[in-house]
Amino acid sequence: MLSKRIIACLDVRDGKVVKGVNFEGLRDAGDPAALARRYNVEGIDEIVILDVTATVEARQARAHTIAAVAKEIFLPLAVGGGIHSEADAAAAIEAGADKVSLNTAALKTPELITLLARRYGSQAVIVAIDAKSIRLKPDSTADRYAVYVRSGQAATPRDAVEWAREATDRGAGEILLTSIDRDGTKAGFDCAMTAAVSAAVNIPVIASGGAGTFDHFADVFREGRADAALAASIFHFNEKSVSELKAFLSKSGVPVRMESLFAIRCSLFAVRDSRLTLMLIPSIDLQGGKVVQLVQGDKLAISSDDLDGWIAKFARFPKVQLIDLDAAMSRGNNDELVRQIAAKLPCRVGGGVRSVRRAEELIAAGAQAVIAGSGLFRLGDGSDLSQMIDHDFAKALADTVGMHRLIAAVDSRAGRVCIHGWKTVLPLTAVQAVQLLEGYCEEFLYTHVDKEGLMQGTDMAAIKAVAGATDRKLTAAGGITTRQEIDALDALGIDAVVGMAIYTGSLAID
Amino acid sequence: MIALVDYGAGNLTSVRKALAAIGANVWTPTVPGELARAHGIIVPGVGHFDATRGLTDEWRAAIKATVADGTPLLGICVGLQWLFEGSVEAPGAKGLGLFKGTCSLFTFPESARQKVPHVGWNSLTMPRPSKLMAGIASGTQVYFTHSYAAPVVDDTAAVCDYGGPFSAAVERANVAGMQFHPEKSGPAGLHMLSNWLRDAV
Repeated sequence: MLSKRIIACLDVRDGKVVKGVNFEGLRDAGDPAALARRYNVEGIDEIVILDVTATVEARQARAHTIAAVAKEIFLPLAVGGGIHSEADAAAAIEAGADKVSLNTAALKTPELITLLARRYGSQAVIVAIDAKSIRLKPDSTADRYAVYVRSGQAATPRDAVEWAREATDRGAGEILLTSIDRDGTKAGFDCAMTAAVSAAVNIPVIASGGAGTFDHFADVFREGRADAALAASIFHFNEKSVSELKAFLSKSGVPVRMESLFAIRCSLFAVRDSRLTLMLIPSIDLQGGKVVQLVQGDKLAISSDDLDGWIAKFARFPKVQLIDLDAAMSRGNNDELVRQIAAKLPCRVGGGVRSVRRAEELIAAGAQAVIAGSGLFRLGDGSDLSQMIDHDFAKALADTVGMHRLIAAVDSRAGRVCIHGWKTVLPLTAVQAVQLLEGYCEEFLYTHVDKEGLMQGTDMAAIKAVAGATDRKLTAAGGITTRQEIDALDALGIDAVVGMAIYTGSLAID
Repeated sequence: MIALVDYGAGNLTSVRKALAAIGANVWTPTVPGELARAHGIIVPGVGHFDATRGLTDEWRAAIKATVADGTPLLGICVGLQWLFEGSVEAPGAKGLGLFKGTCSLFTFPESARQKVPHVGWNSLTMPRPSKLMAGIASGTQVYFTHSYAAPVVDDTAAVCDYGGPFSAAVERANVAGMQFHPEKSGPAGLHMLSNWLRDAV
């Protein structure tokens, strides 16, 4: 079934995201590429850059932003704001946009729609309509939807339904419909207006303006008959993550593409070599009492009948990594399953290790080592780096399970340690973190988040820097793509963690 | 080296970027004769089937000859449709005819009307194992944007359903096609491109 799309909008001025961004704790505050990268990891379906740069050099600046974002994502990318001519559109598309969104220019010069549709195909042309609902008579149910321009400042004589029809006839491939009344209010999408436009045209309609809760999205897909919904600040502020929204919609019966953080964590290997197993640690996710494979966004559980055969498949690895997703999200645990697997495979286990007791439980279940991450860190302004470490917790963990059974997970994004599922960035580098933590553990698991899922290779220099900062054993993850990289890591005595690639067959271990 | 054939049908930036990300060396040949040195050929395409007229007889002959030598060929979007005999969209423009059948417009009964074009993420089912779809689970979603679709044939490697089943991917020996855009389908799409690339280098 065709999924309903969730689209994130980046409002950009002079190369920076300007609207609705929570700057707190984000080193790359306002960096469109950093935001796009985060949305990509969370499973966004599409990104729209709305560039409102108003300088003479606007086109060049816009191209720079588009190229930077396009480099981060392999998803549809649309660009709007300031596309006034064929040359503007060509520059945006040349820089990496898949679609351009026309607003005022389409009203002024409707022929531009046709021109661009002929040159690039209708799928590349979005017509953006900003409209206000106007009740014709006080007690009437018949609304009129007045089209506005200049950010809702100026009314036009056009009606949104009629204009959407004309735009479609002229070759538009999608309509981006923004309710000016609702924009920024968080009061919900204008479902009536969206439904009216959606019913009038045979092309997809993207609803925009007013997203405040998950229910608002469900409403606009059902009542509003929207094909996609666009939002900005609800995502930027980290109030709601895209993945949580999709889980909610999926549960509510709205078809969405399920992509997960954990699916993207695994680099895709295209290597077939059994010798590799000695340097690789497969990472396996546990959820709901089952081993789950998150295969490119599709969650498949290994039935318990197959568990033994499945365990046998991994027997050739010297060690495996288990991540308890339920424990990570504080929704119970999968200790029984850990017990079964740990009885047969040497396991290191992580996910939600936020207390000494939890670590003890995992050791009791048979884990050879526990992986602790976010719990080892504390929020702070970075003025006293040592304060960024929860020394009491780290020491208690080491004292209880032993340093030799404690692995500290250090995830780094844009040169800074990040915690809480990569959402919180700390003013601390991975090099500083391992130096501060090495008194408590005998191994570090370093994940280079910037390279995850991109298959552009990993950052060897970053991994080497971390390796050079500590005498402890280092295991690395994040975008490791080529055989050369694995060999280079192996030469440094560094193991590589891989995820689903192994049991989906993209990395054959047979 | 992968030859990315530019016959004027839209924008190749995304395809080029995705191929670079998975380590492919890509060039755009300017004359058909250059295809002889390709390790793989990609025929992309967005928009109208009529644009495939840009693939002149000289290009067709060169592509056919290179493919006959065993070089892998991949058609993307309209590029897949072009591997069939033709399309109702442009009856005068002939396809390469490597797969039987003609592409047709999505049609729906009045009671179950859906929008055309088919835009967005839709799921795949695999009727048989193939090199292209190796490691891809049934139910994996990929990004489509098209109004015309190729019929399901013996060589169909992935099926998508939009008011009826159609060929989302085809594969026979060294000839393959994808109706969706692997370059815009996240990790799943890159994985499929890597699958194809493995044969091409």
